[in-house]
Amino acid sequence: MQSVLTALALGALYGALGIGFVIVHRLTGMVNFAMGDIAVAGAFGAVVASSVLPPLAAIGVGALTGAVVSVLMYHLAIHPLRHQSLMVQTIVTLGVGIAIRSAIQLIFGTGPRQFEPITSGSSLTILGGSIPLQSLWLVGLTVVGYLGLAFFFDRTLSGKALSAFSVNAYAAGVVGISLTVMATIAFALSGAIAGGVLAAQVPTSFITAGAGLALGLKGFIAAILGGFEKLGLTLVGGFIVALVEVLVARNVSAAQASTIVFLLLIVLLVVRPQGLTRKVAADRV
Amino acid sequence: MSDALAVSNLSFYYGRAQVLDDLSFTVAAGEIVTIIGPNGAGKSTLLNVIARSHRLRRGAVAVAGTSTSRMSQSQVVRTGCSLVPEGRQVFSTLSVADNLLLGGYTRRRDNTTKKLLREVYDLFPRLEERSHQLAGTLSGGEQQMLAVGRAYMSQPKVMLLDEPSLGLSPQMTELVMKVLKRMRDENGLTIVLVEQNARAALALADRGYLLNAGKFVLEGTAAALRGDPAVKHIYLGGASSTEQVEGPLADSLAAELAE
Repeated sequence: MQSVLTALALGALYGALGIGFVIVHRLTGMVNFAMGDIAVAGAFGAVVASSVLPPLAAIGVGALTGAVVSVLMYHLAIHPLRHQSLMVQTIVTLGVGIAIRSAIQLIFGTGPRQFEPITSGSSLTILGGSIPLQSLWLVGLTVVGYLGLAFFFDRTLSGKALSAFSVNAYAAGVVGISLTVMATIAFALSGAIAGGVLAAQVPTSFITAGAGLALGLKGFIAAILGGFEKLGLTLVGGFIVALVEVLVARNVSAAQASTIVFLLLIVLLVVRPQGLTRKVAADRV
Repeated sequence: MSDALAVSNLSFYYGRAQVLDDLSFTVAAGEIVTIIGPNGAGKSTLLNVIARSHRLRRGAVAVAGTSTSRMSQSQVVRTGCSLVPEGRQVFSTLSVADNLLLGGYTRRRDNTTKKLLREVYDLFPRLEERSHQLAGTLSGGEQQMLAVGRAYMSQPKVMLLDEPSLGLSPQMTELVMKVLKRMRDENGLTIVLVEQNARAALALADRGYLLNAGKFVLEGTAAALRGDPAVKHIYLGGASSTEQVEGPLADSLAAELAE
């Protein structure tokens, strides 16, 4: 039970990062490997804000920071390359990730940072396992973020316009939907959910400048499990990744947990590239 | 400036291959003009350049007196020029209603969506019956209706249609053509119709241009083009007897237009 509860919080984090991948990929067709570093930038934004603001507001600042960094990345690095191939754009995201990571290290150093939880007090005990109250906030924030995004995509005209773009980009242009505007929205949303949720995790553990790559890759696995398409399945995927990691850490070796998760990624890509969805998206990156 | 659409000295290249060669033409408000021509003549390219799906590098385009030469694709739509693309290009995984709502995307702040949706459903009652169905599950004819309706939702002054009859039954073609005529008669819509089906197009249009290898080789009233021996020979079935030239579809449309 303890493993499940720990995995729940960690899974919400990976799921949120995965959703960040999915939103950008659905629109542009590319994989944003800077996702983890954008989230870390958001978390550091929250760390800075926490010195003057209460924790919940600081997490809001974290989401905003993630969104701003993500949008800046689109306009400075991706938009100028929009006529290049997806492979070029995807490789550039790796470079942007390194740049963001280095910038954070320059400003904040390599040491761990932390701030106060939203609700002080001890953990909640459920069926023999315990979960920190802050982790409940994290899970709640992810669920709220997911529901908000689901509402946005299903019920609002802008959300439908984003979906329309991923269904048929040519036709979306024909009806007057601008790729630049849509991409700005998509990058902002993906940066906000990843940055905000990671910021919510900071009080339960801590954050370091270099955390982005590994976090991003775990979010990437969650996104693959969601077929790079479905937001809900991506959250489930995040939970599965976290559960594997927690169980391996507990029963095999804590040091090897990440290695085994990434091994799983390779097996997954070979055996079941469509993730938890039924259809194979053959033409995707 | 009463021209709804004015194109001047427009040229277009795919790489080094010239597809359109210094084309100039105007379409008056409320006029239906057809551009006919063989495969590869540049008909689709011309419409896509006017609608700015392709970049405009040489030449100028004006919609209702406003130059659109420097505009983005979405600005062109907002100025009042909408394309109904070849092969319909509906959003297959979205519902019929959502497809139409997205057609009005550039007018989303005008508060006219409900009224326009009503007008589209009046033009195509079939779309209202299927409003909750996914667009990809519609028949070809219904998808064409949807593509026309989607363009109508942007309240265009000029509608560009790229081969709307492609793959449609003669009955369905006739229905679509009738609605186009109705939109012109009732709303003063200006229509530029690119067609391989010269017979149906010339039955509907006021004027026509014959495009070949990127140049206009012939222009005139629809009646004159229908009577032109070359057009008759190549595009109206290679027949010299009036029996075959005046098919049942052309007849019924001609009768319709005569009213």
